[in-house]
Amino acid sequence: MSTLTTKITESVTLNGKSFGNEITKTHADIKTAKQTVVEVGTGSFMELFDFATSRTGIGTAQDAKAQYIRITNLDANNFVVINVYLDIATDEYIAFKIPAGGCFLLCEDKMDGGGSATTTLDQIDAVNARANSATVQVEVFIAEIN
Amino acid sequence: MADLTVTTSDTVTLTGRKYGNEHTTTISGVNNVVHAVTVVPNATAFNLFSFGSSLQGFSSFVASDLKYMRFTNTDSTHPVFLTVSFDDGSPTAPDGASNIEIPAGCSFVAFSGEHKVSGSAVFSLDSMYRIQGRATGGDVTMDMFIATA
Repeated sequence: MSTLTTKITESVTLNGKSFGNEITKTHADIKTAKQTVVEVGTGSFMELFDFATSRTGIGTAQDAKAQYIRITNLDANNFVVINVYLDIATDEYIAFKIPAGGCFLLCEDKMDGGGSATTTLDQIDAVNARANSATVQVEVFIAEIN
Repeated sequence: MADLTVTTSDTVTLTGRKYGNEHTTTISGVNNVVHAVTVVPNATAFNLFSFGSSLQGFSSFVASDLKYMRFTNTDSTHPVFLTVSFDDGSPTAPDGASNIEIPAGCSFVAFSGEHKVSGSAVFSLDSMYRIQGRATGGDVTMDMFIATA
């Protein structure tokens, strides 16, 4: 078991004053790390990874075990849209745009798309991605405690 | 206008090999920055930022101007939940929302003010409408940074 260390640093200077911060977080008991770069096309959504109640393969994370998920758009020009898919009574696709160079971070593998504020979240079933006008490379990193 | 530099890094060593990476992106055209620390109350919805068609004060921005935002839960124990709602342009907003948990010490970041929840795969997104926080188990202190054009 190992410790994952994550860091976010932002910095901008306006009116001669520097703004920003550096945030460091450690995650203990990490047993699994998956890091991959994949090409995401424009025609339709492709699955980046999914979740299941048990580990069934390299592309499947076990429910409730992911401690850190990062999806980085490596392209210099084109954005990518990710759909976080929740397979519940009614399908929910929760969408975020990742501009060129940007990323999407999660420290929990649960979300909700029900429309109202809640602290009861649903297990993510899959994360899919689609690029806008040209194929982009996306880097995915997942660290789990199983 | 200024350039905002954002770096994310993650590293873990397993079986003697390092995994993770470091990425830096430079975002140009930043004109407005808000860096704030606030207490998000336990079990109560608390307005953090809102979005509209024009800049309206300290905590309201134009969604299409959003360059970067970060929400960090600085608490060592309790989680905080973000509710991110969106506006599809119809008369009554918000038109939907998602909820995201930020465990103790963790962060949520976004590089765009576009968001949507749909019953089918969705590529065309709407503008964010409002972001609210709600702690559970106790009040938490949130560190927030937002940069817009």
